[in-house]
Parts: sequence; structure tokens; C-alpha cells
Amino acid sequence: MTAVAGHVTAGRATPALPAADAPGPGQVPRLADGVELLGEYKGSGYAQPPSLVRRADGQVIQMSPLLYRVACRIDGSRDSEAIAGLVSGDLGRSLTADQVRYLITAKLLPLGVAAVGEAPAAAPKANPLLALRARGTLLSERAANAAGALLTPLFRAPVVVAVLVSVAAVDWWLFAVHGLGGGLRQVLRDPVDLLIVLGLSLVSAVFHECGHAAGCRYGGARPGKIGVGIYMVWPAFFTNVTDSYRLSRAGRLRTDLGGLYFNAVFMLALAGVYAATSSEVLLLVIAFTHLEMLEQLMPFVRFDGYFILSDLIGVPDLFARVAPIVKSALPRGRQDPRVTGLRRRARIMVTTWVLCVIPLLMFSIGYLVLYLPAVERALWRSASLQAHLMTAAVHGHHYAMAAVDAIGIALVTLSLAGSLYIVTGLARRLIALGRRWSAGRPARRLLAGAVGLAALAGLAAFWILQGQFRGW
Amino acid sequence: MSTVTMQELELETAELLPARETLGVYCHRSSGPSSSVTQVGYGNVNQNGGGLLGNVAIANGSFNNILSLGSGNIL
Repeated sequence: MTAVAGHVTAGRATPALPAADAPGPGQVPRLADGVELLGEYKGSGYAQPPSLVRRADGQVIQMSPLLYRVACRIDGSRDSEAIAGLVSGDLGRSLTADQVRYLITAKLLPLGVAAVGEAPAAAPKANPLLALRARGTLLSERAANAAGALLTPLFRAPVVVAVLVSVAAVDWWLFAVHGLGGGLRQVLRDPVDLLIVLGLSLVSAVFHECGHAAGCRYGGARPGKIGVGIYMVWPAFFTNVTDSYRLSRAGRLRTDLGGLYFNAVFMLALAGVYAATSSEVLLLVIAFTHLEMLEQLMPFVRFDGYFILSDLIGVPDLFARVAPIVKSALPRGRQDPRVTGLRRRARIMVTTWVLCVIPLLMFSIGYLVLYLPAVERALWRSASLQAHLMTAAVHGHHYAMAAVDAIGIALVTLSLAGSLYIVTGLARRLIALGRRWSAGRPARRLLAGAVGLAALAGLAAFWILQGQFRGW
Repeated sequence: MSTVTMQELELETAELLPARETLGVYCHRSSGPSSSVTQVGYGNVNQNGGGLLGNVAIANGSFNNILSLGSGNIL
């Protein structure tokens, strides 16, 4: 969820900061320490391209052109009057000192871009819905940059062409000529080969992330760390490429596609090892990697496909457009500048995406909520079964198979915990929404409470009637 | 020179952008098909009804896949 400072709709005043924090007529505003003005967001889908500012803590802020011009003119020595004069010259339109003070107070100060006097700048951070949680570092920023720098030659045009042509040839041979039967038989015969498949998939995942880092470096931006976390219910690797916001559209797309490209490079390497060893299991890994690549192209969750689509449209945060698009479609719905400011083509594409995301979201969350006990029961049974088999495997000294079962148990347990986390997170947000809607209005609060209780009772009745609590 | 109006100023927006973290989610498919394949292939390790356990495992693998498919499309 992104915070929008100072966005106003008709009839609603922007909440300004208390007078004590506003720059007085003689006071000189300054940019907060470490703030960097990155310039225009290139390849934007907006009619008036926004500009980007980055704070010292890495938070990137997108702002409208006038706001950015005001920020550009803040240098710690100019008061509002001087800033107004310079910005008026930039714009070719008159801006008053009071208006500059308003913009600083209502827009720049709350976001921690500007500061007044010794007062520390506010520093809210973006908190997107269902973002990556429980992050851990695999490669520090320094190491990720070093790895990225080392691998940038892979992005040279002749190398890219050679890789893509070679992978196409390997795919044709694998799927049209040789087939995967040998690999499947090998995996079923020997559980150690299944461990090899999982291990190579893991290596492929890390190499995929290095691809993003290398693509980011090749474009001239600086990647952040590479790490692991939990995305919804699954373990996920991630690369922080926030600095790629500053790149051109082509640079951002290269960063986005870098992961998939490195999957292709990895497949080529596996094909080379197969040529030397004739180990069929390697071909199975190549096939699984194709599936993973296809999955990465899904644009409805924050996978590569989402960022690719976002950069093609020129809108950096598609999920933040869901609520404004829905509100603007309602009768008497308010027009949000985040929607009205889009170019026609971009608006059509974002609206189409939103129209696809909403039913998917409703189906997914609705299914999960309606069948939560049954899903948890199935996962619990799966984990119990695998624990039972793992115990048997250990007793039979089949340690490779026991290891496979242990990995299965871990992943199922993660799914179990993650699905509960999603549902409780949803409940928390709904409660917060109800509280905000009914703030200061006892009748509304009573209604919200009654609706909430009725919904819970209905859900519990559904679960019981469906027999979802039986058979644990 | 024309004057910028307050209404125009109120429409000026600044938005916190989320960190660009390209995600690679792995193994959630592997936890379904590979574990069910494992149970079917190695079900005879458990000499007592290994085949039955294998069938149950396939069903449970499917539930996991449904969860993955359903919740995989959430934000």
C-alpha cells in the first residue's frame, strides 16, 4: 500500500501539518539529509511524466512535475519567497510564497523529502499489500554488485543472441526428439536424483536473481541485496533493484528480464554438462526450469511478469491503481489523479489489468476463506503422511528419501502457516477499515460490529455444515 | 503571467513507491508433484499399504497444488 501525500479530491481539504511544523515566512526549508533528486521517470504512462526522489533510507517517491520543481529549488538557503520566484520562472506561471509553503507543508514534509529547522523529517515507508515478509540476506549489496558486475558481459548483444538461439535448439532437441522419459525413470529409481533436481532448482533460483542484479548493473543502476523471504505462503528469493527506477524503460525491462535470461543461460550450462555426462536428470531440471520461467511471467502477483507489464505500461506501481480505478468507475466516484493523469493507452491497459486482478483476487481469497479448515486439514494430513514416510525411510536407512520427505514437510508447513497468515492479515485489514469508516460515529460502529459478527457466524456455519472440522 | 490555482496545487501528488524486489518463488510446485511422485515411487518402502498411502499422497499433493494455484494469484 503506497501512501499518497496531499492528494485531494473535490470537497476534501488536504490535512496540513500543525502550524509549528510549517515553514514560517522567514524560515528556510531544506531537503532532508541524503535526499537525492533522480529526475524524470522515463517511459512513463502519464501525460505529464512524474519525477523521482530518493530518500537516504532508500525509499523512492514519485511526484508530479510542479512538486518536483519546488523540491529542486530547495537548497537550504532560499526561503519560500525565493523558491516561488524561481519556480514561477520555470513554469511560466505565477506561484506565490504561500503556495510554496503549502506544497512544502502538505506534500514534501510529510514524506520526509523536506525538513524545516532542526526538526527531523517524517519518514513513512511504502507498505504494499502482501509484500515479501521475513527477509534474510543471501548476498549483501556489495556482494550482489560484485556478482552483477562480473556477469554483465552476458548482456552484450552477440552473447544474448547466441544464448537464445542455442536454448531454442536445445529445447527442440529435448522436447521434440529426445523426451523426458529417461529423466523421470531415473528420478523414480533413485531418490538421490530427486535431491539433485531440487538442489539444481535452488541453484537456478539464485542464478536467476543474479540475472536481475547483472541486468540492473548493465543498465547503470546499483542493485541492492539478494535475499530470501516468504511471499504469501512460499519461500522466495528476491533481488532489490529499487535503483532501477532511475533507468530508462529499456533499462528497467532489461533488469526485469535478466532473471529469465539467466535461467536460459543456466539451462544451456546444464545441457553442456549433460553432453559430457549423459545424466538424464539434468534434462528434467531443464524442463522444470521452463515451468518456473513460465510461472515467473504471471503478471498478477509480484513476479517478473508484473514488473515487465508495469514497465511496458510505464506505471511503477500497478497494485496502487486498483482502488483508484474501482472508485473512478463507481457512480459519483471521485476521479483520482493517479488514474486521470494516465495517457489513454496506459489507462486502458491498467484498467484491463485491474479487471483481471480483481476477480482473481476475489476467487483466490474467497476460496481460501471458505475452505480454510479443509485446506489446513489437507496440508496437515500431507505433512503427517510425509513425516510417517520419513520416519520409515530413516528406519530403512534410505536417507536420501528421508531428506526429500523432510523438504516436503517444510514446504507444506510453510503453506499451512502462510495461508493462516494471509487470512489473519485480511481480517486485520478489514477490522482497520471498519474502524476508519466508523470513527466517531457510534451507529456506524455498531453496524460494522454487527456485520462482522454476522459474517463470522455465517462462515463458521458454512465450515461446520461442510464438515471441514471433521477428520483431523 | 497566469497564476497557479489552489485547486491545481491540491491535485499535486507524491506517492511512495514500493521497493522493486523481483521475486523468484520456487519449490511450491515441487512440494506437490515431486512429493506425490515420491510417494508413488517409494510407497513400497512402507510395506503396509504403501500403495494406499501413495494414493492419499497424490490427493494431498493436489490439495497443495489447488492452494498454490488459488493463492498464487493473490497480490
